[in-house]
Amino acid sequence: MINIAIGKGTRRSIAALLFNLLILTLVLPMQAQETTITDDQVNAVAEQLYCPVCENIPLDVCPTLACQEWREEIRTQLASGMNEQAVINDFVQRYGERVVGTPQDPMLRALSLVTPWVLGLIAVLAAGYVLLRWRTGPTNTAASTAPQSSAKDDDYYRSRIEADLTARR
Amino acid sequence: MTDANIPLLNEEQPVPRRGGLGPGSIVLLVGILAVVAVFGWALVQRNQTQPTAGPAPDFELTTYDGQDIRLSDLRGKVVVVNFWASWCGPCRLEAPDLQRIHERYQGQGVEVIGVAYTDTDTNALAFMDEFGMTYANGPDRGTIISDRYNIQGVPETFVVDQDGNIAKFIFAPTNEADLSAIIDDLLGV
Repeated sequence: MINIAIGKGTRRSIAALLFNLLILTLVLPMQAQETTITDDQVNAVAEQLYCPVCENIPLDVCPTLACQEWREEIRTQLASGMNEQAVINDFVQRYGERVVGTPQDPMLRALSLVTPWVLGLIAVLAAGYVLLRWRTGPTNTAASTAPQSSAKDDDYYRSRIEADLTARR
Repeated sequence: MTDANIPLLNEEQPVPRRGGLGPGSIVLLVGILAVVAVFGWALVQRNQTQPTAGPAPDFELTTYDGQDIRLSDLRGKVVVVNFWASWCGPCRLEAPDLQRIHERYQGQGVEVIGVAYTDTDTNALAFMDEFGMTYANGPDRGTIISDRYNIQGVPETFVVDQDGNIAKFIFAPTNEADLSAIIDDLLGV
């Protein structure tokens, strides 16, 4: 067993060293995060947004200066710790819903939101209607409308034809 | 050799279809109408242009220095509303002229208001600093103001008269001479 005598000053130095290490452990990853926002991370957000001045061009492929500035803004926000959705929400709040491709006009927005559901409903109703008709069986098909002959009719015609042929002979 | 009594067809005949639309046709028609409504409304919206006369759409703007401005509160004054952005090249050309207009007409019943369109605050403030812009400037949060004015891009400028009506719409970079001519006319100078 080795006894090492540690003085008060030494203990204080060790404590200070450990404290500094703890601070570095907490701070370094934060700094690293700030400096390592890649273009891919920026574009992952940018592709969900649209150019403010051009029509229907996603932000990640837009070459204008405005888009470049917005991409840098995204990078800054991601670096500050905001997640993707928070960045998008902030853009919507600052620049309106046009940035996510939603029409600004309330009527157009309502129509564009309702129409796909209406079309889906129509498709379902139409499919249901067709299925129902198919299951209940054809009512007006060509087969059902064609004249049906009975065995009685056949016998009658056969006898008439044979009688005619006999008469001709 | 015909026999009129020969039953050529069964007595059961197909039921003729009744007139009118079936359920399938109705839902299809509704779908088509919905699509037409969306595209029609979009077309109407697209064809809307900037107001060039009549009452200027009212708006509220919080400037970069925290001042709240409402256009309707400025009745009795000539108001120059300029839409700009730091990323806009032509805006750089007119920025010094707008500042000169502000300085020239300050205290004479003329207000210049700058509305930063889809700009980042950092870049907008740097732009204002670069051109020494001291008149009221603020961001168009949610692009609400630019939507009301149906702007197609920047820069665009609206001159509003003392009664709150649009006196002039300028769809290009403006300059001190043109603006002062319009303002003098409105002031009756």
